[in-house]
Amino acid sequence: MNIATSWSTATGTRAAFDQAMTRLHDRMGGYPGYLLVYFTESYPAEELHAALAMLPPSVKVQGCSSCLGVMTEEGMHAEDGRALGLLGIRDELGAYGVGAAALAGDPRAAARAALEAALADSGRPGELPDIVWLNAAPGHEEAVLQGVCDVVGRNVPVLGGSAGDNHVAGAWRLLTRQGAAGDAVVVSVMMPALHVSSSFQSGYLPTTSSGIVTSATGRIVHAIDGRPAAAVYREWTGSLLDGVPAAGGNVLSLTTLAPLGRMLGTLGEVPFYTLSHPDALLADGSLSLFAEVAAGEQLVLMTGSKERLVARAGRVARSAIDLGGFAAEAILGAVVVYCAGCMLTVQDRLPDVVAELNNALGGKPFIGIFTFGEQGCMLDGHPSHGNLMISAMVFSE
Amino acid sequence: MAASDATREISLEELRETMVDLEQARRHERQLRFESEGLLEGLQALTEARDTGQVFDKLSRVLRRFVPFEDAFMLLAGASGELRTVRATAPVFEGLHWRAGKMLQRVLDGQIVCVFDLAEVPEWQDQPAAVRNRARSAIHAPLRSETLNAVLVFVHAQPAFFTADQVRLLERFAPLGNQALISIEYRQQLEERARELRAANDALETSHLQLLQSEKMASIGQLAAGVAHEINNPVGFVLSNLGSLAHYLDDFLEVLSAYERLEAELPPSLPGLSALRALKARVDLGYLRRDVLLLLQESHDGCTRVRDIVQDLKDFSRAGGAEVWQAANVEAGLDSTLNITANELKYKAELVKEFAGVPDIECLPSQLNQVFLNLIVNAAQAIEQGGKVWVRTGREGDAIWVEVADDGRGIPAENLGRIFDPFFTTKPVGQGTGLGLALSYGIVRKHNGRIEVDSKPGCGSRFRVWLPIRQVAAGTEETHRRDP
Ligand SMILES: Nc1ncnc2c1ncn2[C@@H]1O[C@H](COP(=O)(O)OP(=O)(O)OP(=O)(O)O)[C@@H](O)[C@H]1O
Ligand SMILES: [Mg+2]
Repeated sequence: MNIATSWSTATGTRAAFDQAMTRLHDRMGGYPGYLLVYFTESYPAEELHAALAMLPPSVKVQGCSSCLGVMTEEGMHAEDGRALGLLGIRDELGAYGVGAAALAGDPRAAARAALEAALADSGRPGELPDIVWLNAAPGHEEAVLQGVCDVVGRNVPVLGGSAGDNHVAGAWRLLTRQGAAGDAVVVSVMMPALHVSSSFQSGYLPTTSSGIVTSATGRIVHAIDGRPAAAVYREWTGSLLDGVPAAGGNVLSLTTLAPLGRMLGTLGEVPFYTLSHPDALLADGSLSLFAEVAAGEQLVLMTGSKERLVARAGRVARSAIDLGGFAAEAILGAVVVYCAGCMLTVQDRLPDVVAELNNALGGKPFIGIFTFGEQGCMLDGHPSHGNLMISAMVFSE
Repeated sequence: MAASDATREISLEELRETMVDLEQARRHERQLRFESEGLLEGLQALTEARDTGQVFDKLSRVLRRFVPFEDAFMLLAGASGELRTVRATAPVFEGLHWRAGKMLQRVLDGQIVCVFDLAEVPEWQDQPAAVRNRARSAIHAPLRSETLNAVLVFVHAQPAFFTADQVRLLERFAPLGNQALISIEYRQQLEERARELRAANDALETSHLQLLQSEKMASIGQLAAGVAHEINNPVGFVLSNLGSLAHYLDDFLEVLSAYERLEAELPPSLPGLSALRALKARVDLGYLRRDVLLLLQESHDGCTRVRDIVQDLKDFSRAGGAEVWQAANVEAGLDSTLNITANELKYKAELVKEFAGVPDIECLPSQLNQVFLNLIVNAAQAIEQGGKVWVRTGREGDAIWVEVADDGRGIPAENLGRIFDPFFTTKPVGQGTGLGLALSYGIVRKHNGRIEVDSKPGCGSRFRVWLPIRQVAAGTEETHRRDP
């Protein structure tokens, strides 16, 4: 039973895959039973899919594109936006299954179908997975999660990250051995013989700026307190968006430290929030977010610091370890989901993020991906979709 | 933003993160405490359990608070690899058979398996619709010890009902539970050993008593033989004297008749003749003549009876030397036994004897007589008064049977299993020792036979003793000793 990672930034998809795969094979002493493949859009997923054909049929594969790079315990990997990372799990006594489905206008049904396929693939039909690992095209994560809950209920830990691309231009891809696609959901069920624990968190503080959503459709907020949402948000954030033209535009990389929060509940006396990341000011004066909001909800401007973003990944990993009650020497490895928006904000400090993670995980193998939306279980214990989140899934003996 | 402000904000943000961590830790802690409570209660329940049935009952009662299932049942793995439901909280789950498919096999191998949709699991697809309707999700937990390979199944009618937390609780519980089970079994083994020792002790006690009993019988036998001898001699000469007396009397009477014929021819004036006639009339010689013969006959009969009874007494106890296997007739044995018990019977019951004329059998006759004696005495004692006792014999193939039946009070069903136990008696202190049937059983077993009982309270009882005509490995003491 072991876990290992490898990576490559070689030019040429096949060369990169071969290099990383050879290294992984060496480190594991054989092929893994379960393989995660994370890559930037510079390596076309279709070519990676072709490369997967060289693996023994028993190897189950899930993967997706990551924004601008990937992390492993060996560092942040990105060369001209090019990076490929692998994480392999060998766990002969456990069971893993992978399923995929095209979203095709019905993300909820697609998630159901993908999860059912994954359960069937695990060879343990009907059994409750220890964890559901999810990657989907960004945009419909709420519905995707509903589909997951339709099948296994709301009591299963679901963890995941939405596929990212390098320029927020829809070039994200999902990957399994069945194929590669842009508009899809891929999901794994894990019933490992090893132990797994996870944590899903964010930080941020509420400010005094807040208002009630008076008009919204899905992820577009038209009006706050009866006024155009984009204008209200500009007002709340002072000079932050001065460079953005009046006609609107992409604001993703600017708004990471100024997301909008919706109160989810209270911890003792103190309210806590789920975050929505504004990604664009639209020409009609509305505001586009990375998560759904509804009319009547209160939005609070949140504020965060770069320093916390750097420190948070390690903290989340530590939290997962604590919750699992894992001994440091028993830890086998981890998968870390790091919000792409956060990554863009802390770009120059990514080596510190890796160092924090290595510190928390004791140098054990991990893979970190940069996503356009994160899924996990909040304090209420049920799966939900959030923005600007960081999650860690840690495996232990 | 002022630098000091930024610092304050950073620390506030970190504070919030810490709060989330703390909250999570608190909840985790609470969950663990809840679990530990469950573990403790479960263990306590286990240690109170005396057998696996109780293990299930107590465990399911406790665990329900922590894993709120609707129903639970226990599967036991059989030698064939099949499992069957041995205990359940609801009848619909009882008596089910399960094949150990892949899922159950993993449970048997020690893994806890939580199923959110039982319709997908082959083992459950085999089950009747009534079961499948009532159970849509389940947790299967192994319960294992040195001798037990069982599966506890907790079910709920709602799909995806059980949670990973509940599975984890059971995972934490399993090793402790199995350990507790092993110690229960260990305790059971100890108790078993103690029971064996006690049984061995009892057996010793019984054989000791048997020894005492046969010593008693032997000394009674000796006594009887002594007394019999003492009686036999006088009775012998009384009988032979009576025989002589009868002859003499015949002679006397013949002489008397001759005298009487002569008397008739004497002249009435003969002196003394009237005095003689007066004497004859006074003693009523005619009557005496008839009666003396009767008296003699009765005395002879009585003495013969005394001789026979004494002979039976001797036969019965066969005092002295160890008895040898021999061909003997049980009907003869029954007759002499009935002779001895005649008194016991005659005021209470009418005796009905139905002998089929069975052949001689290879046996220890005086021991069999003890059996018959006890059966007949028991029958007599079961009757208040005005009853009937039947003594029958018969033959079937290579065996004969002797039956003693009565229309007395009968044996209540709850006692039927115990009447052959040594010291089991319902008779008042001093009357019964409760050894009669126990000893009879031993004797009949020694003959490779058996005793059947049929009884109806209020109507009567029937004891039938089956005895083989020939002993299989003929004749030596050794072969007959193999039975206890
Ligand atoms: N014919 C019968 N009718 C009713 N009960 C009987 C009969 N035979 C035996 N039993 C019951 O079985 C018990 C045991 O019989 P068993 O002959 O062993 O002992 P006992 O007659 O009580 O004492 P013991 O024979 O030593 O004097 C009796 O006490 C009586 O309750
Ligand atoms: Mg008796």
